[in-house]
Amino acid sequence: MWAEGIKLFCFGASYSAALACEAAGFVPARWRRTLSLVFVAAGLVAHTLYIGHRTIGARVCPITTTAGSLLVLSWVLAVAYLSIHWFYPRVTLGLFALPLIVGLVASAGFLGTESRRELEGWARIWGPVHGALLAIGAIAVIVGFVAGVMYLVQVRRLKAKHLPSELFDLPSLELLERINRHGITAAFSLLTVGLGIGVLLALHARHEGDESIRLLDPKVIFATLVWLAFGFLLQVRSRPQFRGRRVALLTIIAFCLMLFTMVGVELLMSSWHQGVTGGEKGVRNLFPARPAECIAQKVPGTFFAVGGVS
Amino acid sequence: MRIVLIGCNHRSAPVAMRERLACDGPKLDRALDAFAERFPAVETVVLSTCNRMELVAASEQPAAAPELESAAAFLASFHGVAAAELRPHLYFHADQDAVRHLFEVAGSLDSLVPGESQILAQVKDAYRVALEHGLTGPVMNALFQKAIAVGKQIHTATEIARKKVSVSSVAVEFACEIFQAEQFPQKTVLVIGAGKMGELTLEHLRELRPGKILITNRTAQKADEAAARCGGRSVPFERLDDWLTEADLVLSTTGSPQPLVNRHRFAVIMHRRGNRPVFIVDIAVPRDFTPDIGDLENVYLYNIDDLERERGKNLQAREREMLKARAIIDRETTAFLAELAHQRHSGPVISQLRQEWAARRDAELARLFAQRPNLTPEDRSAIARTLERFQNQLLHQPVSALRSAAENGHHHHGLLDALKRLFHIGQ
Repeated sequence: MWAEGIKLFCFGASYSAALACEAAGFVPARWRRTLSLVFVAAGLVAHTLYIGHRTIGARVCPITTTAGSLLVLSWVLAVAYLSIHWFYPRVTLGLFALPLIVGLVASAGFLGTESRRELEGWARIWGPVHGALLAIGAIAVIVGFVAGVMYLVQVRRLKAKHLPSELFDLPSLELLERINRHGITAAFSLLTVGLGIGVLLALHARHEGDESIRLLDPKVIFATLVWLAFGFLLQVRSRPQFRGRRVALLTIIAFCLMLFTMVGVELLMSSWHQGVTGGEKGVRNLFPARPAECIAQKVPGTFFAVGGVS
Repeated sequence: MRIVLIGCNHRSAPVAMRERLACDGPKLDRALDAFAERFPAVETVVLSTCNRMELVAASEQPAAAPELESAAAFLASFHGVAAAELRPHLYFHADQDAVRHLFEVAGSLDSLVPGESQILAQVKDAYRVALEHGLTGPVMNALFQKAIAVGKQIHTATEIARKKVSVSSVAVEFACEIFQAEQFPQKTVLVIGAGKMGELTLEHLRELRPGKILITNRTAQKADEAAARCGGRSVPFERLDDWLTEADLVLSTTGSPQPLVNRHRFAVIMHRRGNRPVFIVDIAVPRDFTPDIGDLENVYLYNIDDLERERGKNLQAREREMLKARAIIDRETTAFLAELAHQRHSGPVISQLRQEWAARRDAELARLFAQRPNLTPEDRSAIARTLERFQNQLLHQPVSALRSAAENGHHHHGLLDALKRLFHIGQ
């Protein structure tokens, strides 16, 4: 099938070209955004075909691995970017969303792996729920992060006493603060339920006699830190001394912590979770071409990526 | 053929004169009827707004079209104004200039506030009224439909309407960058001082429909009067800190020689208001708020210079948009006149050409059908359609060449003559 020819590089390059258009000063103003949208749309088509082909080919949930989760997150962001642009064409979103999309695709390419374990028992049902909740939670974190960055840029411009230009128009501070607040609430709720299910799955597996599952695992510890960070944000966001700029800054820090949990821990630390979500570093195929290529091991579930379902 | 435009606007005539020339409702009906009586065989539209009164007329016979003096005399007598008093305020445009001026009016380039969209609706209304009076013909129909299309094109293809060029509207733009438009009904505006400038700016802020307007002044009576005029509530000046704690938007315009509020005082107020964002427009000179208040978190303080600077940028940007709009108008004026010339000169010839060839085709078909009586109705219909298609193909090229010559502004009388001679039209 011709979709096999689509590589991660195709849409990664397309998104990068869109970002370059947004940032390029030499492209005439009115063409800049149109070109950027064309590149994002082209990238999104390739991105969708890539995920679709790999998912159908391997018959696995696309968030089986950390790399797969990153690809799905970047896909959701690209869809959101185009949708927001459709309804609010004047809002400058590209300079904020596109670096994130490019970064997530690049991280997915860097983390690419074939390893995956098979889930059994309770984990077959609750493992994917655990992963899906965390993936949606990650989207909420990203929404809060983008709104936070935009808030800080908008504050900076208003303090410098400049009105928006034709090509750089942001939503009002009040709206950005609201989006940031909703992002924090959603992220904390989803992380709470997602992590709770993960902990219960781990305890159940240990009860069943699986000694390889440890709660004091780097991935688990950092995921808990992300959860604590959002809990803290939820508590302080309405306090006068934190209102506005400080909450936006803290959201950015919490996002960085989440990114480290998803990518950094995977690359730098050893975790039993890698057997589920990633594993052998540096292998480039992001989804296994055939289910038979998967390394079958029995584990209960994952953090920030769903265990195998085949 | 001649197209003329006679009238006055906010630049050529004072409001007192414009008031006397204004035509609305029944008066407009009477004016149109009187004009048709005075200038028969002339197509007319009268555009009357608070900033202009213009009479657009066109006639196939140039001599029948009104000239400046005759139109001025008509307007003077209809409105009961001395001709000598009216004449200096009138302008007169003919043909290409008249078309260009009308397009500028429809595109809002000639408005008091360029870019405002109300004028396009007024142009549509003026055309509709003339149409109802039966005073429009092929020229006015084409001219006004084109003017409306050009007006829409300018609004969509340029940013002319987005660039605000008054200090007050720049303040409103800043307010919209801080607060969500949908949340303004929950916001409180505080006006400190009861000066004229404050009321003018408040007029613009009221467009945002704030939930509450508080007005305070050292002299309570002035605050009461201003509140009555603006639909706000007068509040005692002695409790200024309370009002500053409550307000989301503050507009300060007092004549105080010393600042009313310093940083320390406002830091306490910010603490009391839970660090809620506040937008302060300080257009008083000397300033009512010390500049360092703007360094406090969640305080957005703008003085008259800040607003003037952004207004200057908007003015420059709007000038650029005006150039774009003028380019559209130049292009469309040329295209309109070329199309009009084409319609007038080539239209009758093309129509005659088609009629003559249709008659010949019908004659040939009749002869053929008489010679072949056994042809079925389907065959006859197929043959007739084929011949019609053939005729259309044959005439397509010369008609297109004529249209193209007219659109490109070439002199196409030579082509017309050639067509007449080649096809024996009018001979």
